[in-house]
Amino acid sequence: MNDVTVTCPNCSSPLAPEDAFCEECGFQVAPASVATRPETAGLGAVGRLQVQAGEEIGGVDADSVQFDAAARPSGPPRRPGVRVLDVDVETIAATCASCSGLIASDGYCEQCGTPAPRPRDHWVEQPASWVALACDRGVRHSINQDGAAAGAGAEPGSFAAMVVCDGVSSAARSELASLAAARAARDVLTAPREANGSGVPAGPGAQPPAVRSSFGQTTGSGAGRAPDTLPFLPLPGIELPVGSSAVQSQASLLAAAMREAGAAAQERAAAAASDPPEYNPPACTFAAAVVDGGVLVAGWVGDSRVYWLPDDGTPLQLSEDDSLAGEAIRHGLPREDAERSPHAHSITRWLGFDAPDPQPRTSVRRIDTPAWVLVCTDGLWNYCSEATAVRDLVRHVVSLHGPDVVRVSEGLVTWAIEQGGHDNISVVLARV
Amino acid sequence: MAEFYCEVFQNEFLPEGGTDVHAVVAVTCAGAGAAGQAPGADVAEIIIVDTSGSMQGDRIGAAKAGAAAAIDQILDGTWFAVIAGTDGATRAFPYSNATSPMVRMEPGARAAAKQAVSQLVAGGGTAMGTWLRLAARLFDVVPAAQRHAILLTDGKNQSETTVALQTSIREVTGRFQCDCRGIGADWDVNEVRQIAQALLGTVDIIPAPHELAGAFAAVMRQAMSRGVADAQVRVWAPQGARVLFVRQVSPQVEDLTGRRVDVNPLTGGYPTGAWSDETREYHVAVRLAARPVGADQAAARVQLAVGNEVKTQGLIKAVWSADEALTARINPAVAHYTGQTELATAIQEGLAAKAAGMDGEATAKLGRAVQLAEETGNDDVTAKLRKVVDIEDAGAGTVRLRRDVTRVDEMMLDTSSTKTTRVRR
Repeated sequence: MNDVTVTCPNCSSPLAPEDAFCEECGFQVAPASVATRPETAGLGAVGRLQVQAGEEIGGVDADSVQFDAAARPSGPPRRPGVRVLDVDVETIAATCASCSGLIASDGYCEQCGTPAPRPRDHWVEQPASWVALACDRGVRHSINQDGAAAGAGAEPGSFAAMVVCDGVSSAARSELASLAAARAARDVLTAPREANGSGVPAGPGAQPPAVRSSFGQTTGSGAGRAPDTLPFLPLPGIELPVGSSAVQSQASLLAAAMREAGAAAQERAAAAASDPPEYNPPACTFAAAVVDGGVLVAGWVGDSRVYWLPDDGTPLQLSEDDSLAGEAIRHGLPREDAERSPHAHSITRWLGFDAPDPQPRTSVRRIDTPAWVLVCTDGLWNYCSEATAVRDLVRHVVSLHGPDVVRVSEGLVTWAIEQGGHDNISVVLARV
Repeated sequence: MAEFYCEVFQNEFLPEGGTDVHAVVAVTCAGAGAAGQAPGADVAEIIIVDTSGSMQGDRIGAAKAGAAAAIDQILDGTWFAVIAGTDGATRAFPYSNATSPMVRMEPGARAAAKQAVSQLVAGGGTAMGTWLRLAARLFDVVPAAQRHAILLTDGKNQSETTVALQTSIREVTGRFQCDCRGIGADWDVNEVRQIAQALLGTVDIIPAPHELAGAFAAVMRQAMSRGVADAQVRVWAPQGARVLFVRQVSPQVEDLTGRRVDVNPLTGGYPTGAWSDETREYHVAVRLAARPVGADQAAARVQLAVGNEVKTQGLIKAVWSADEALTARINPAVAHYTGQTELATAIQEGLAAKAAGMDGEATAKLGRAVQLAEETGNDDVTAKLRKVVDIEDAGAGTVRLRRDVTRVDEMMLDTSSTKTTRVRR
């Protein structure tokens, strides 16, 4: 009775039990197992770096840096001065927040039956004063299948790596793929660079070439895809950083690092599949931004996005959705019509064991004016898609909560929840 | 080694202010093995045969053949005995001069027991309470954890008072399990059902003597397939909640609510007897304090425990929602077994009303039964209802009582009333 295959009444695609919306066409399916947002759920884990003003944070010893109990500096070696916080989002509390009873292995209190708050449902990381991420289950999904990660140097605008991965809810266990992929990509982007200036990271965080070797050929799926000879996608409105060879070479290095990060993410996403792999293995999208030396490089696979939101000047979406809607827009369909079409949310590229083309496409932007850099999943941009509208939304949130990067990130998540929270919501935000 | 697992069927969504959570939990046992296989797990079987005067003729012959067929099914090493029941109870095997009141089965004992059974003679009255007491006394002397009896009767319990029978049933409850079979149409289904229900067994009718041997062999074969000696269903409910009822609903309806023993303040245990490789389903209803819309909680945990070890657990949830599309749905399994439980009640009350000459009430109840059997797809019961009533409109439950009904047909309907069909999944 419970294990019958459920299909979308609109397009007949298979649905996972927790799907409130069809992954294929976005149709709101009969909400078979829709979770509503418990009012009683406490906020999840928070990892926040607390830095004394003017103090430099080293990569190794940082006595002046304090962490919340749930956060821990972790992972492979980092570039000097770059800090990463991995909040523990797996461990659920041992005692009940409501009655202090013990939490049983099923996640509910042994005394009063209240569910233990799951940290994955909502967590926040702030690796530096100017970079933060907030990731939330939303309202309609019963679990949070988004993953997000960030790392940054203390000096505002110095260095930041920002990654989101949206677990595909029609495949089981995508939440494992998404978080592992996001953190692996972040680890590659924050790894120390070799002295010769090669963009390829060195040390234990470097990627084995095995996965990388399968990349490099285009599959023809992404219309408008740049030829491999061009390091960046020439997006409309985005100028390639001509004029400065230093900027150009920095951009090339970051783009190469971004592709390595994508390969690492792909490796972890593929590893989440069963052995032998199931028919529909875990999968996720990928969107990342790296800020370094006055240059911003965006990379993506799927329909998660990177936005450039300057205080003055034209806001831009630096990514180009690998989705049927994205392709329709590239072919000239107005954005509103394209994103309303039945199969708008079908992604044409993703990460995972069955990914047809997992190499990130990249674009570049010179950081020449004060701006917000936003990396987010469709849990946010479903309600606010156009870059100008996103810029206005961020301004609105800043006007409500002030410019603190955590408050703005949380404010964006809260706003998406207020719009209905139909999907998981991930926001990684940097002020440059 | 036996393994248990369970599946929960429910609609966890409650409307704002909703308090009652219903779920059907299917518990399945696999790898039970044969009775007595596990080391140190001795099994004891007693065959109780009615040898009252009414058994004279075909019936005593059939009873002898049935007892012999059952003896053939008892596995070697099983403790066993045979009781002959009249207005008192006598041990037919081992013989009264035997040193041990029960013996272990082996080829010699099997032959001797069949010889003893062949010499049974019918004569005297019927006092089933005395039969049960003797069985309990015999079981007491063997070191068996798993004790089971099979009881055959052909008549009403005329030689002792109803109170005496009920006292005996209470005395032996929990000391052994007992499957009961009635031969012919002169026994009282309700009377025998009391025994079977208290002793975690089944009740059924054997209409004709020639069917007895096969039926007895089947009951014994099943008893010998129960490799898990004793298990308990446990229901946890959160502090402040109330367990409204715990019902076995498949393969037969059995209200367990009153059999609760406290495991701890929040958990009640309900005895289930021995298990073979099988699935039993339980309908559990819990009343909670309402929580705000959006909140969720564990409404109950249903466990199967063998000894003190919990073998499997199912979680029953409650989620309060403002979405009527979610909260209005009734889970198909819950709906199905709610109907089957009402069906059993309607049949039993309808037949009781008919026996009391209250034709109006009988027509209404049996009409409702026809409707429920139709709705829940219980074709076997529908076929048996057809022998008692003429169905005009099954969907509407309009029936007429038939005038040409045999007592056997009524009894077959009565005994089958609690046997449920599985929900179509």
